[in-house]
Amino acid sequence: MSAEERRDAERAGEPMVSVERVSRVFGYGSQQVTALEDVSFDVPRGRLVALVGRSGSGKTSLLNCIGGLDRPTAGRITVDGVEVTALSERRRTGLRRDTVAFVFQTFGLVPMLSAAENVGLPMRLKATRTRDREQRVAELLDLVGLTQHRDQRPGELSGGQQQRVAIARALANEPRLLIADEPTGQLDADTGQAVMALLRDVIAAQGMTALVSTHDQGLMDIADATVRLADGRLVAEDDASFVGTGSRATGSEHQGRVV
Amino acid sequence: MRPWRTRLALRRSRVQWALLAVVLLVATLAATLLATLALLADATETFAARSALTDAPVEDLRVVVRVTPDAPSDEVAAAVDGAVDAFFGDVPHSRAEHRETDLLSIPEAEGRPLAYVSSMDGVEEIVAIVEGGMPEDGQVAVPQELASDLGVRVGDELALADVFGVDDEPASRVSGVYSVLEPGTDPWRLDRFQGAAHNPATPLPFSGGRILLDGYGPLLTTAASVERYPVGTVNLEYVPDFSDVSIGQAHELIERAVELERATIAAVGRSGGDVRVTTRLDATLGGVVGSLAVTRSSVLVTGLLLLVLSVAALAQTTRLMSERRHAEQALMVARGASGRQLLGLGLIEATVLGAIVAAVSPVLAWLAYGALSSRDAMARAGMDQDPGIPGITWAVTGIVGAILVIVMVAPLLRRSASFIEAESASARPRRAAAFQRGGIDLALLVLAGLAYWQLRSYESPVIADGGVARLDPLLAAGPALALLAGALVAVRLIPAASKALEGVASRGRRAVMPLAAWEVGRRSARAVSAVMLLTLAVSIGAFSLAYLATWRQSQQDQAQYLHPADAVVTSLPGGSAAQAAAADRPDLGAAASPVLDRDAVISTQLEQGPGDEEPEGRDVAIVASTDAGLAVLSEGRAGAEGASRIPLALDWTPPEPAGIELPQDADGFAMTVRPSTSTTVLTDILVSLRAVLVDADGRSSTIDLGALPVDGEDQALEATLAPLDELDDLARPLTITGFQSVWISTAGDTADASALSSEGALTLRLSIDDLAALELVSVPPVVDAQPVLEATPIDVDPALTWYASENEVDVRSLQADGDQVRIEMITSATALRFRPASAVQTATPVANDLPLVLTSSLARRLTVDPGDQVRIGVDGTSLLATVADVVPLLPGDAPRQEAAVANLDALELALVQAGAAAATPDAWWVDVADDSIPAYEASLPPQAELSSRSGTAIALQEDPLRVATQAALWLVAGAAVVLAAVGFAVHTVVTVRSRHVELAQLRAVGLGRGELLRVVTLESVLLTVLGVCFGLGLGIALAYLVGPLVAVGADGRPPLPAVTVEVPWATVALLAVEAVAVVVVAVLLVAGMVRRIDPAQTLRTGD
Repeated sequence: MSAEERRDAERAGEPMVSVERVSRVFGYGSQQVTALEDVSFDVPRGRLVALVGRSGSGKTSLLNCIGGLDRPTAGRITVDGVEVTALSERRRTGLRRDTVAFVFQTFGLVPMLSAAENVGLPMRLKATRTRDREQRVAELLDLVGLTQHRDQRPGELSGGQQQRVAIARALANEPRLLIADEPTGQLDADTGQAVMALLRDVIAAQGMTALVSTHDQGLMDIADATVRLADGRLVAEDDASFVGTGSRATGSEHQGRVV
Repeated sequence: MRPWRTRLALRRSRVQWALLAVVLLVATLAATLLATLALLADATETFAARSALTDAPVEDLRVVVRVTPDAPSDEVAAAVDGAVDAFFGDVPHSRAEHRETDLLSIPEAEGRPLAYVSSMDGVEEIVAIVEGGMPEDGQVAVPQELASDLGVRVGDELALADVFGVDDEPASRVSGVYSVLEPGTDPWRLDRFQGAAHNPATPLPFSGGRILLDGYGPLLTTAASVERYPVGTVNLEYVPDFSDVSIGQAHELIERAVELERATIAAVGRSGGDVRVTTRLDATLGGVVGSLAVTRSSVLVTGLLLLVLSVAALAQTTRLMSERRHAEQALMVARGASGRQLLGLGLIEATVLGAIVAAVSPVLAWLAYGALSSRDAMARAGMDQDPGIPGITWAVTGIVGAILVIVMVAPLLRRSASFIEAESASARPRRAAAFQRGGIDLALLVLAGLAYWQLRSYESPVIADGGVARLDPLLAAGPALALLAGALVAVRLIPAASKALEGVASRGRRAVMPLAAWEVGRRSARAVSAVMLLTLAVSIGAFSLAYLATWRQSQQDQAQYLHPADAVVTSLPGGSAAQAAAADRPDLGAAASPVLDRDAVISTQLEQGPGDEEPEGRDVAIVASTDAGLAVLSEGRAGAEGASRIPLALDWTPPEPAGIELPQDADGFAMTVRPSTSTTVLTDILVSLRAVLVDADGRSSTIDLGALPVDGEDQALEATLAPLDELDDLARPLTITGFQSVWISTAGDTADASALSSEGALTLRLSIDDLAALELVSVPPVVDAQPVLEATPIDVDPALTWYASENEVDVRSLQADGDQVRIEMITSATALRFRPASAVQTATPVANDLPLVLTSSLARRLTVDPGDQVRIGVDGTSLLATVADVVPLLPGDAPRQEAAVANLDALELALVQAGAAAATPDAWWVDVADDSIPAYEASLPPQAELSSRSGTAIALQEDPLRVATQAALWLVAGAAVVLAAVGFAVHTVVTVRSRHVELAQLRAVGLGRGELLRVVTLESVLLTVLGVCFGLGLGIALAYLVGPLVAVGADGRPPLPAVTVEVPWATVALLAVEAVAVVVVAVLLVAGMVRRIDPAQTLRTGD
């Protein structure tokens, strides 16, 4: 058993994501806007969790803090046993490269690169051997059904195809946690459903944990659990899969654990 | 104008002030630089042209009208004044008058010496009264030489008569005695004796110049009194004052100069017999106008290059601004804004910016000119004056303002692309657009090729238009077109270059290099604009530096061609010995070689007709110097281009001196001469006799023995060698190698023509006997006592072979026949009546093959090759010569494309063998170190003129009319770097700014901050490497192709010697280093931005 596998075994019982009393306040001059306030929940490993809420409810801020793109003003976040909030900038970049992957609403593809080059980019960041990289890119493009479009650039692909490329790119380094921020936000309903189906399939296939913010009822239906945010706070949701810890939950505010 | 648009524009400018400030900065910088160039050109016209004209020597400006009056002088002068005033128009000018009589005689003095009377304006300043005072009407002031030689005193009545002493002229009372201040100087040039006051060898009029008498003059009197005598010439001198004259007035003068002589002759009409107008004013003005055209050409060439760069910088900046506003525009369109509304908004903004640029830049240019003109060279050229802000400056900045408006508004005129089209275009450039661009490039290439071909055909952007150099703007645009075409071709190589780079980078494992290569190679529009800007800047900088170095080298080469030696000394007084003593100063480290530099006539017609003294042929320059003098021609560029062959071809060994050797310590020689003739009709024949002597070094000289009546009587002659020693400093022992005799009939029209024609052949015979060497025994201690000389007979070898060269005679006998030396020749009495007959008998064989080196253009014109014979006329003496070699060019004054070079010793021997007197050097080539020149120059006599090679090189470079060329080149080289720096920094900042989201996304997927910075840095490095490589290649190619065509000479023609391109590699390398520094600055700017990228914030806000 390798050290990594041993570590995995040790962490098997721990949640993939643990959010504890996280707050995020943005300052705009003399004004302050609270994007997240005292949010706590856990996400067990291997689950697909939907993060829902209206625009401005704090979904993106929360995902950014979990993925290490942003630091919360207060609270603690642990991802795969690593306390993200305590990491340096360099280590957080490493976390994004090795452990966490993002899928953005706007796809986040580099316009000048072909589909294959975009998919291969994270592996270049890990300095993966060229042959391995090319093989993995081919597999991923096949996985998302875009082998025929490997040399096309984002501008030459449809929105759905672009998001599939983004998903393939997210999977490139075999992340433990996939964070998708409204991945169907710019897609029509049918395409969005197709993308969601793909997302669900690949998550299941890869055995990874996923945290997906969405307005899409379809995704909520297929998610293992749903976390709902309103005005930066976690609110109780009529959802059998959601189990709050209850100790600090008051009214509609919850501190919970996804099971 | 709709108020809402103005309000919106104002609001937008408040928000985007930084973006607009950058556009304003670039545009103002470009406009200021171009306006400074315009100001420089304008100031050159105003200050430098004025300075060049006011500093020009008076002899290059004055107009001298010389009239032989047939009416009272006042009438003649008034007529000339009218014509010249009309010529000068509103150009102020001074006037001076000089009237001079024909030669008169002083009948009461012994030997009936000659004299002349003059009135001269301003004479008080050039003479000093030593006794008495200046003359009033009816009086004369006499030179002190006349007073002392003839015993004339103040108050005496001085009688004058015609030269034959037959008709009396009015006598004048002597008011004073004067001495001449600085004889031989310019104010005396119109004087018959040029201020010498006494000429002991004044040719008696009507004697064919063979009877020489003492002459004195001028006898100064008033303008009115000079009219009492036969006035020979009225000289009027006009000197224009150019201190407040425009170049337009100079152009008008050049045009009117063509008609000046004709108009003056017409004005004088029958009041004057011979009217001669002498001036170099038209040439001087033409030179100034030509130089201005050359400077304008340089400034225009560099200005156009700068304009290309400025437009590129402006276009890039505004394109980046437009890119930056892309989302905003799209939003406005989405909210229903029409294209016209967007255009109106953009127009308001662009017009305001354009107006600010047009208003502010002239003032900044004025300040920049002030800084530039305070530099030493500019100040020396008279450019450090306030030029104000002339119209051209406003025009230039106005044009830049207009260009700014166009480049800002142009993107708004394009058809709006749909979202899909825009996305598709951003993904991959359209093929149609590529073809379109390719077509434009091709058209520009063809245009540049045509311009270059035209430039090559004309060899210069300055063309001669009616004798005046004129700038052809189309030809001057050639380099700018070539630059633009070259830069476009270069940037078209970017995709290929980056493709190769991409190929290499993609194969690697890492992300940094491929990301940079992809960005450069695939966002070619951005890369092209940045690389284009750098390419243009570096190429303009490299071209300017190479052009400057080439131009300077060309000035030095031209200086070397003008000065074969380190220094050239002319106008030394005295004979060869006196000149040599002054010029050759080993104590000051100066070694001088004598030079004969004269006009000559050369022809391939070897036979001469009767009476032809000079061959009819081409007017050329002949330059001759000694072996040491010719050796300097081997130096430098001149030597490298063929002049080094001259000393080899003209290496000359003098023949063994043969003749009558004088003892080592001889002070003179004596002989008895008996000239006789067979004619009984011509009874007044004179023979003028000269002895030819050769010294131990083989140098020839002549000594006048005087003119003798041909009466068959023995006449004793004595000649002392003292004057010869003083003149020529000869090396003893001396050998009399020959005698020159010239036979003249002074009968003129009085001879009986029928008797002459019936007489037929005429024998002239010269017998020389009793040759003796004279040695100074003693000089009695009495004033004016004659030295006592002791004569020692000289034996003349009866076997000595004599050779003859003759003119108008047939030498019959050179046999001594009882005499020590005898020459007998046959001519005709009729011929002798009209032309002197001359013959030379010489003990050294007449060579008849003077070796000459010809310039190749002259050889081509004459169609001669080395080994061919030609005939050359020097100082009226015709010589047979052999072409020893042909060289491309001969160093010396002016463009000497048609010249002949000879060995001075060989030429002197040939001249004396042909009957001419030994020549006095015209110049001295001096080998002296530059730092010794001031001391050397100070040691020369005041009349001497020295011009040094280094001084000329500096003068050529710092000529008021040329200094602007260097200033412009420095300005452009510096400006190129500044524009490149600003443009590149703007490009980098705006590009990074517009890629914020993309960079944040890269950060989100795991690209570290350091890696991101490395990506951006590497992009800049790639762009810089491409820009610097293309720029250096293009700039240097341009320097080699176009440099020789635009680095023209002062007259606008290709300079002599031909331009060799100089690339100052060290400075060019520095330019490359500066470009790297630009990258460093840009990266430092970007580093801050990259560090500040907050992926979460950026991804959330989308900006």
